[in-house]
Amino acid sequence: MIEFDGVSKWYGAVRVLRNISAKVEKGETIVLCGPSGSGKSTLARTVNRLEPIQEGTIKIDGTDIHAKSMNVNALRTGIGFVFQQFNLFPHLSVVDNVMLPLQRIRQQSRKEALPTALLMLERVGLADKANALPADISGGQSQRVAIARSLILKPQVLILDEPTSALDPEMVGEVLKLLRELSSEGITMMCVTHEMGFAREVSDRIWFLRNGELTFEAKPDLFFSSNTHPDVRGFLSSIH
Amino acid sequence: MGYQLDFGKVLQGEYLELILQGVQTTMVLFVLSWIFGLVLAIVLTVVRAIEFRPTQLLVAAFVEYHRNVPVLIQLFVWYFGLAVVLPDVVNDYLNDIGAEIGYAIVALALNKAAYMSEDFRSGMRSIHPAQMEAARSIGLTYLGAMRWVILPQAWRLALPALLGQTLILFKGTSLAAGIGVAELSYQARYIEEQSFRIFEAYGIATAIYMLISFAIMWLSSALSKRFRLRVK
Amino acid sequence: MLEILREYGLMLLVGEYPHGKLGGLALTLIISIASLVITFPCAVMIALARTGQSRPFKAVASGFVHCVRAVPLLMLIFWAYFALPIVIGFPIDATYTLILAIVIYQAAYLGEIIAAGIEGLSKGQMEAAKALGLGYIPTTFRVILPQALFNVIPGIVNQLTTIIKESSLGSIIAVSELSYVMLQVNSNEVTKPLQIFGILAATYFILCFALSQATSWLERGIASKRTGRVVVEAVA
Repeated sequence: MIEFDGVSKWYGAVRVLRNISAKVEKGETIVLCGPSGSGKSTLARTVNRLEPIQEGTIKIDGTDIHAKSMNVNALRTGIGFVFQQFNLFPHLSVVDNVMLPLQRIRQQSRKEALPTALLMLERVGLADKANALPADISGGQSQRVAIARSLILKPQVLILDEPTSALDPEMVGEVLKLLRELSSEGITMMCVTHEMGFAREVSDRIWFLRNGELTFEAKPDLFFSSNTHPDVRGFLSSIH
Repeated sequence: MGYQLDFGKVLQGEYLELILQGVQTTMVLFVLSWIFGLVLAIVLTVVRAIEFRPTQLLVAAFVEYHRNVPVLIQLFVWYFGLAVVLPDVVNDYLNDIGAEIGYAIVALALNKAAYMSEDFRSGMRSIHPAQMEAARSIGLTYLGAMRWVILPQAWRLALPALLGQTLILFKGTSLAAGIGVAELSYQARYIEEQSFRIFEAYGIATAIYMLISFAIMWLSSALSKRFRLRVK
Repeated sequence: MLEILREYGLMLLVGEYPHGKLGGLALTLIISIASLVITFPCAVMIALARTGQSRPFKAVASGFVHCVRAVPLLMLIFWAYFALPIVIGFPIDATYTLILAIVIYQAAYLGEIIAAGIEGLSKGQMEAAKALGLGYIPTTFRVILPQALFNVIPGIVNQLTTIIKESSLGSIIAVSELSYVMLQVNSNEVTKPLQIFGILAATYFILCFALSQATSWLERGIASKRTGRVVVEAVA
């Protein structure tokens, strides 16, 4: 469903993505990992065009999303994106954050949008925080709100860029639990993360990037086995 | 000291009327300059946000002129300068209807617009760029992101500074006395000259200024608290 | 415009001097710098009272700041110029009354700037000084003020810009500073107000713009020094 074909990207003279070709099937959960500076976040951000690419194509269901004719806003409404730093809108309450896409993109009235948003908050376990402001909830709660906001337009694809890296250790679990549930519900997911436990249990495949290159790609069994790529072995031992 | 304070002398008849007129003129100057200034400030902010070098430079020049020249001189430029540019007929007409106050409003409004647009701009700049990115990642257009995400935060962030400018503008209306606008401090000076009641005339004017300033300060701190943007 | 500059340029710079009193731009600068120099110690005292522990001092300083901020500078100038001589019983030169009014007015503003500088220091500084057994005076003058004043140097320079602009109000009480001189020129040359006030505005602009550029240059320099300090703290 998502098809990377020869994708390359430069920042000036620095090449940050090198000729990446890979496929994500519908409903799959892909974990992207690798050392810092490997290009994994950049690759994730190319999928909803937060980053332009200079070479290659990225197709979703056969449509070239980096084509000039592609409506970038329409593309993004079909792709949920979750940031490391949550990026909730501080002037809006929790429920208003979640409702914003319904109101301002689907042009629903507050009255129409509210039940959908409350249902979504319930889904992430935060119905009781609907009227709180982002400044008054914890990091884990903020990230769950951000996930709710990214899902409110029922996207087919959910991209997560290190969703637990900014969280205190005791809050990582609640977010991963939610992601596990979402994964089993069949949404197509690409998740940049260092949480190898999550990768092992939840992902269908793991992509390993190094210096902008997709060096290894495997199912978790193989990825964590002794037959894995030597770079992966080095990486895994370095983060443990 | 042979001086006996007698506020009754100034707070009656013609003098009282002059004071009340002064207060009224001060408030007219204040309110109209504030409204025009704010509207123009918003226009200037938008123009400066558009990536077009010539207009950006023009706005920057406008802002720097108004920030680096005394307000009194800005009033002089309008008051003395415009008169030579306009034809005599227009000038005579303007003088008949009391054009000083018009010049004062124009000068004060332009001055405040320059300062307020800078406040808006620094409000915008203190918003983390990731807010724009997050708004766009939802699928909002650039203008949609501005309208629903960036501007609602920008005005909250700019609010304390804008309220500060409001107080400065209120006090700044006194400078209109420099071009003969009969606002409160002008009337106080006039009454003092006529009645030799120095302490009473300036005392009453000062008290009125303080009263209104305190009201503005109180309102400012209430509004700043109410609309404070809390960012983690 | 050149004609006016040729004829009145010297007057613009120094007023009637050497045939009369010093005036013009020179007097504007003297008034402004004198005002800032006299304001500075007053502002430091207000800032210390505002940020200190003593309730009465705090209340007095806060009352002073709020009252001064509530009054237009022009009213203070009227008080100083018209009322003060009657109170003290002898006349004072208008230039001094202008400086006095600006000092009172600016003490409130500069005081707040310095107070913000003191409050901007980390609590650890005060605690570290106390932990060493330093008393109030050495803590304040050896630890707190040197850092706080260094950090607010841009704010102080910026106030000089403000004072220069405020000194133009001297023209209302016939202090022969820059604006007053040019008003005199304007009444001589009634047909060229645009040129005359253009020159006047340009003079202020050059002066104040240069100072505000210096302010932002200082800000950048001091900000980089500050981050340097933070880095050192983080490493330690």
